[in-house]
Amino acid sequence: MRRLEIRSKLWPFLALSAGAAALTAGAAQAAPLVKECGKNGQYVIGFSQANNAEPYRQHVNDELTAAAKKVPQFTLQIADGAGNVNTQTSQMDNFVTQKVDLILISPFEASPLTPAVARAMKAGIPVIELDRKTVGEPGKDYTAFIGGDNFKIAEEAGKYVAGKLLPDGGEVAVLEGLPSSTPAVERLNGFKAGVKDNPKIEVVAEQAADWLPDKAQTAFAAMLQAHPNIKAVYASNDMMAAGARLAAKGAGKVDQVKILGTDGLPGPAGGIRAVAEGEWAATFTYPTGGPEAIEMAKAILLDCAEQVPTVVTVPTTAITPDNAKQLMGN
Amino acid sequence: MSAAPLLAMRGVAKSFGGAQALRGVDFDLQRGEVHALLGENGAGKSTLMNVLSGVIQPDEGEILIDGAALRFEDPRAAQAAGVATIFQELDLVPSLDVAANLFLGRELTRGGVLDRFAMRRQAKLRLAEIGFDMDVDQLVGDLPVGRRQIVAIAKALAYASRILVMDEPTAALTASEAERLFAVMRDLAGRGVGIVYISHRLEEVPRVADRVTVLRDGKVAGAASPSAPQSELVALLVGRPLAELYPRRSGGRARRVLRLEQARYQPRRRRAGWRAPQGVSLEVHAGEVVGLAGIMGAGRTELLSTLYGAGGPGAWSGTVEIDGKPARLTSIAAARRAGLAFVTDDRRGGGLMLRDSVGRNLVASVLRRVSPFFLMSKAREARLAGEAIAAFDVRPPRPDLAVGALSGGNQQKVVLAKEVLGEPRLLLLDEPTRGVDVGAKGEIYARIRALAAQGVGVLVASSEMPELIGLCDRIVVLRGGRSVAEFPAGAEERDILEAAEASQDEDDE
Amino acid sequence: MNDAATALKSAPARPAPRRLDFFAVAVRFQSVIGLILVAIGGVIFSPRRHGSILFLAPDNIANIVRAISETGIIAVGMTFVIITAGIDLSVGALLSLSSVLTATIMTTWGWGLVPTLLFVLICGAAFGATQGVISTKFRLEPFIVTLAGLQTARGLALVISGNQYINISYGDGPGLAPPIFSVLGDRLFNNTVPVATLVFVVVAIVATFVLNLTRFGRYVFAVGGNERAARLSGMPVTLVKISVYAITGLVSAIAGVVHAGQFNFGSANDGTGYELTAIAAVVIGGTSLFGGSGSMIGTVAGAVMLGALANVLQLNNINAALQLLATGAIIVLAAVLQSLVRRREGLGR
Repeated sequence: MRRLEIRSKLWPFLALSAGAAALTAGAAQAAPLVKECGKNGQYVIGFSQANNAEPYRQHVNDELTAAAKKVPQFTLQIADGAGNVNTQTSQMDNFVTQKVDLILISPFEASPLTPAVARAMKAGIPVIELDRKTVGEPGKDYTAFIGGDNFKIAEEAGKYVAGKLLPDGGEVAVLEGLPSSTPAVERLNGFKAGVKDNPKIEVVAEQAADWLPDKAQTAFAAMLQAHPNIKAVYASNDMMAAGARLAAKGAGKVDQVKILGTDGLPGPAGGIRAVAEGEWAATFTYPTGGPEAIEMAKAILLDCAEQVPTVVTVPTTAITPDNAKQLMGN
Repeated sequence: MSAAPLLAMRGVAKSFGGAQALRGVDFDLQRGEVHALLGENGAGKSTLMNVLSGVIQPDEGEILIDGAALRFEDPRAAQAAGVATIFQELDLVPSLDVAANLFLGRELTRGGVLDRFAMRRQAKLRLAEIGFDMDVDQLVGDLPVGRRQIVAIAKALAYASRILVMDEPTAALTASEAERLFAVMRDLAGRGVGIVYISHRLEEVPRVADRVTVLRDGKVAGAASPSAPQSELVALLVGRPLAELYPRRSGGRARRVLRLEQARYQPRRRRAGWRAPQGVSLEVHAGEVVGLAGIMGAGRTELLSTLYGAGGPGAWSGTVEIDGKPARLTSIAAARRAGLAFVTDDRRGGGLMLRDSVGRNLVASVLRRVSPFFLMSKAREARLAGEAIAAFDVRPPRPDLAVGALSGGNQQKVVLAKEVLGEPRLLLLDEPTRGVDVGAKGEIYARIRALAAQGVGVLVASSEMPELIGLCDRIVVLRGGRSVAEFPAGAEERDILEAAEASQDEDDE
Repeated sequence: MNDAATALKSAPARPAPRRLDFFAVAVRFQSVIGLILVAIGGVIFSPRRHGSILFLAPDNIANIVRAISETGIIAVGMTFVIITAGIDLSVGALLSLSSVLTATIMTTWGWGLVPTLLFVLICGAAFGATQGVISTKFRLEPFIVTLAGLQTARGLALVISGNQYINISYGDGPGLAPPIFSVLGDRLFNNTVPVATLVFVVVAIVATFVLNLTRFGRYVFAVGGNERAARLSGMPVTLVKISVYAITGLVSAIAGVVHAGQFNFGSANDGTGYELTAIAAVVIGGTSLFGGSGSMIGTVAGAVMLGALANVLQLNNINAALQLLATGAIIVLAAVLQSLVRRREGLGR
């Protein structure tokens, strides 16, 4: 009975998830994930954010806060890890001390935060990982992972360039994120895999700009000097795309260079507006997973779920001039 | 014209954290008068003058200028009322030139742009007005201290001041420079300026002052005529008649601790205003106190510090012998190994760790003796410090006190005691009684002679001629980095000065 | 140091009776008092669970002292440098370099635990000493030299790590680190005492001993108190200055090893801003940036206080911006107290 109810509630949620197949058979565990659950309780959810000082992460916070507000039983606590594994570890430990009912975490780095997640799990607190994973097996070492697939998103961007944007080929550049960070590597490799579809496209330059617009501007300006025929640039996040646009403008090449971003952030500084106003060719949303995470929290805490899907991949949306204006309206 | 004095301070009292620095002091100053304010360190002179110049506010009492009561909330208010103060630590900017310093904060401009030309011209004029001629384009930091003093005076006078407070203005001046300064002061007084003159040098008082007030323990101890004998002034200062200032000599010569024969020091880098020894010949025997006389810039300090290996990189030539053996005094470590110890004239800048305790300062140069196996032995440290405090009669006899809280005289005793603990063969003293009370001076002289009596050789440089004459067995005169004359004990001050300043024009910058 | 307090007990000129000057005592122990105040605030404002005070829960105390162990270790070394009136900005970058080195050596080069640690610690000390040599030899401001050191260390870390972060996996065999190394991330004694904190405690005890009870410690105070006087007293001033930078290099390397062990990785991006946290702890601890005075206990209390403050605020779900504001205010307060002391001692207006 109860189980059916959960299924039905989760149905739209599960439909989104490509990774739902990874669901382990839960017949063996008949107990709910959290003992003190039910619709009448009050629950504290702690979210350990890797670093508030990035527009994308702020966007995640906003979406999570908005989703949590709709559930009267939930109180959301956000802790800023400030881009520092030590700080984030201590915040995770504090959540455990506080005995929050559920923890969401976007780990700044994978293996350093693994022990902290393990301590939380050991204390009986479910941990849902957002956007980035720690080391281990979902469903065992942590409750679930919800996020986008960096490689796939960048690959789609690459395919978009190869098929739609430059079917006749040409020179292409890549602006990488902070070197040695996982998403930077994945997005770089994804994009390069995507453009392979079109042998006439040549990646002539790739430079790290650490996710930062000013560094991206400097780097791309230098690229345009070295390769005046660059036709498109893929920026691994929206901020660097904005920097690339400034560099193109400085070189007088805004019409020649197609700019692609990643993240698809809303707001006046975000990528959706830039595409809608024709500044960029496209940007690819990196979904926050915020609403999905709150849905999962509801299943665990309010509905006493005995199991949840352990990997939920939220697909990307390509934002192109076709849909950007409409999305702006939302 | 009112009959009220130019300045009257009535019942001024001030305490710091429970210590009563001033206990109801009355002080007045007439137009055209040089009023000498004397007192030992800590007697309250500086506090009183800080009240007058608005640096601190009194707890009680009032200040009347021309009979009108005024309150100086800050130094600006005092300046506006015509009170200009020349502090001992000159408030000049070393990295700016003389002209810029004279117009600091009141720069002349033309159309919003600095008018350097006019400032240089006026600066020259102002200096000429007080009888000095100097290059106003020089950086103040490159000037000798004496010249800086003059710049500071010229700067203070520019405020159209009616009351001028001078805190030990002659401390760093040569005798002839001091004479010129006195002439300036008399001239200013003749124009109606009232001057408060603070000094340690009692012998200067009759030369310049019209009236003398002595402070002791935050109260007025008494007034005296400038022509009163020095012993009377000293009795007022110390509160009791002082026996003999200079101790008796032990006499007798023994082995030669130091011999210099045409010694020169070739520094690797030239330094402005630094006169390396350029041919010094002298001897110091065990048990002997030898004086170094000379005008400013004659190279006294430089000779002592290069002997101590602190003259920067360079090489000696000529003969330098310690205990009859040639010595290579090119580093402090080498000089200390050879048995030398040095007491700098810059007590605060190079002698003491002011925030550290007396005890820790005392053992600073003999740390090896109190730290076997690199571990500090608190017991040995306390014993050694205790001995030194007792031997030099440091007051208060508390090794835990911060040395900066002691009076100048006691600080100087600590510096001396610290070097004596190292049991040197040859003690180099640079201005051993600068900024020290008369009372403490006598004790320091006694200690120096006692050390000599124990067989230590002492070489002492001083700009106070009476001190050299009273203390030393022989006096060597330096000029332009060379030894030019030698006088036995009991020589006439006039003769020594003559030798020191003989060809001043040729050596002076 | 102890003299700040004693100095104030006496009037400028004459021996004063031994009175307790509360102001001086308060400044001397400012960080300890600050820590007590934060603790009291923590107890008052702490959320409670089943009537027990969350802030005082053993788990929570362990969280606090674990979180500050790395910056605490660095702050202890920084105290030496600051007492000599110097500064070392390279510590955070050196921590990162050391963590990268540790991870690389153990996983790629396959060295054993002891040689690895020795090598990393020697590298750290040598890096620091090199900065000291450059600064003394060419008479450069330590600020500039260590700023360059910061960049150099980060660059080296990026080169050595090949722009990747290096995971440490444990076990026997090639590419695996000795399992004992992971103990740095554990908690001992019935899962209560973090090993990282134990390292901090040991480093702090050794440093307190060196600073207060050895000849070298005395040299450090003297060089900062009055460099010229120290030189004229025959102290090896240059050697002392080089040594204090070797010490910060060494403690940064220790912190880097602890970092690698706690988080099982080495990264060229870690330790950013640690130099500022460490300097803040030292200053709050009552050590004067002018040199010549300072206390190791103060530094430790300052570091713990900053950690406790962050913890109290997070337990109450107060946001990060306010933590920064509070830290800033405390640093200013500490600096103002310092300057009041100097003024009362008559050292500078």
